[in-house]
Amino acid sequence: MKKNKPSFKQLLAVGLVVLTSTLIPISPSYAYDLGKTHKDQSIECTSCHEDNKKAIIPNERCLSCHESYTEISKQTSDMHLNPHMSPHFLDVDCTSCHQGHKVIKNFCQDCHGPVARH
Amino acid sequence: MKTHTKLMTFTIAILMSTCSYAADKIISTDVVVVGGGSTGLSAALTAAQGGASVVVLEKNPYLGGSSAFAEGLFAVESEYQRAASHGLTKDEAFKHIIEFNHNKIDNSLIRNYVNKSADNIAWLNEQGIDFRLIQISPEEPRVWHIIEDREHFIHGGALITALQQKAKKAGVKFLLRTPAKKLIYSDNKVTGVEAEDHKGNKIVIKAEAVVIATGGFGNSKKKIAEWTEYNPETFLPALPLNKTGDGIQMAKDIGAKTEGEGLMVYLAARGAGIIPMQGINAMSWQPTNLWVNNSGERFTNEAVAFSFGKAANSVGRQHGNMAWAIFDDASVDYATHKGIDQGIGVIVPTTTKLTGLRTEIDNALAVNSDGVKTASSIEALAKEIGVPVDTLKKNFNDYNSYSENGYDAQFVKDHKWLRPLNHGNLYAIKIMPNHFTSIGGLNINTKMQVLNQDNQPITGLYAGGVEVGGLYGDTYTLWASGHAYGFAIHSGRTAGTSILKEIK
Repeated sequence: MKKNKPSFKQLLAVGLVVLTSTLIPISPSYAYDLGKTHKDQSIECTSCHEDNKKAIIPNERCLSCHESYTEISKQTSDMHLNPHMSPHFLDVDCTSCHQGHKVIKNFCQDCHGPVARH
Repeated sequence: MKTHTKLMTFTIAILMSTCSYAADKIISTDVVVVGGGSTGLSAALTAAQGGASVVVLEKNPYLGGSSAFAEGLFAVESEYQRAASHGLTKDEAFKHIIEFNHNKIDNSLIRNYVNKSADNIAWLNEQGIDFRLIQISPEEPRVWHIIEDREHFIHGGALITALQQKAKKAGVKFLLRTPAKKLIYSDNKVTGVEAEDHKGNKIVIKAEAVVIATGGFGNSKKKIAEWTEYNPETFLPALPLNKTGDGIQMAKDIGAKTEGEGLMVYLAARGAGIIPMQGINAMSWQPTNLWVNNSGERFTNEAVAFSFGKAANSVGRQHGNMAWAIFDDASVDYATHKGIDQGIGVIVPTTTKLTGLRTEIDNALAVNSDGVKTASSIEALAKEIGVPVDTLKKNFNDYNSYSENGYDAQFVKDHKWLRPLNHGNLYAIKIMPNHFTSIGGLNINTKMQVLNQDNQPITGLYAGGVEVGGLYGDTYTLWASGHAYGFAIHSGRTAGTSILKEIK
């Protein structure tokens, strides 16, 4: 599987984000519209879509920057049910909740009811 | 997986040939498995371990289906039973299963399944899955191999994720949110499936063999109404798993034969403010309760709750497919301090102390639940639950006098479960039949090949799990605890093995 290595521009963008995050807190709503929030961090459309917007985006592409479910789960450990450390499922499609250009849709809630962020 | 440019060239070449389905992507593989539950994963892993290339299609964003949540497997003469000196034999189990179903089932399928069940458990051990052996209730033998938790995964999820990881290592490709739509079929031969990913891209998968394992039709009200005798408005599914009988339908569309479509029913406490599978539900399963229908009549020995399917059968045939489970403050205290006599599988195990029960009841009452009622007298309770006062009073008083005498002259409940309900307040919980999954479906032979109307195997087509017919009469075989889960593994493995023989 071709691994999507972050470009220098992306790394710079991420670096800037890390720096600025100590000065300007990033709103938690960033998870709620992926397309916008990635764009705001100067990440190109092609990082997710490569050269075909109609194709699905496999987990490997998200994880090439975001490392792994285990790493991400640390960022959502405050939630009363951690969607990135599900006791039921492994390797759920990232984009099934994080729909690129729409508001996030957490399907854990289909059974568990509202899952809160503290 | 091919790189993007290679795929484009290949796709264009195929599109220029006579392909009526305008595909955006074409995949060629040895085996395509439709459905990523325990049946599908067992088939995929077996085939991959035998050297075949495998693609698994799953319509949900996650694998497992019901198998991610079910708890254990039936087996007989396993190592676990040997260690526990549990002497039930394969012959005894086979005969009992045939008898339970009044011989309205395929004896050969059952014989093979029972005989291979211990070996299937051993195979699962090799994939990193462990079990502990229990007896689910006084009604059933010690045959339920409970899946042990693994890492942070619980219940069936521990099994599914283990098979999933092994399958991935063995080269199996998973396409999630990619439901199969249609079988590719001509000259009595299945040669693949047409599928669609979540972005609407059409995918053609060409294969030597297709395994159908979509977990039945439990979430399709339409199919429950068309294919079974059950009312889909009252017999509700346990979980929203999106199982709409796609696999059965696809095979029926090319002439497959079906048999025995039904539901694996169980009792659920139904009403606003009731959290499923917790204290209130557990309380409704206790053998010391009094059950009345909506005419206020007692209608069965309430210790039938030990056998969840028979309990649902009894409640299910009452008017409105419903009943009320009545108990008193002494029952609540017993459940809270001594622990329950009957658990809900291992989700709420037997002897669990329902310390949160009073709070749960209060919460449900606070939202004026239609499923939880209380009163200080039987007359007042009759009004609360909307049943005729005189009838309820008579049935209640009769029940209490049986209990005081220690003999149930009406329905012969064991005296152990006869406690007069005359301490403090009375409570009533509405109980109705839910179902864990559908049962019945495609006819298969012992190789797991799908059969057509002439009872001949359709070349290249296999099926397993709760998708198939010929396993159950009118009721799921409760006596063999974990029968469906055990059969899922058995049929998946067998399909994989049969396919390897065919394609080599």
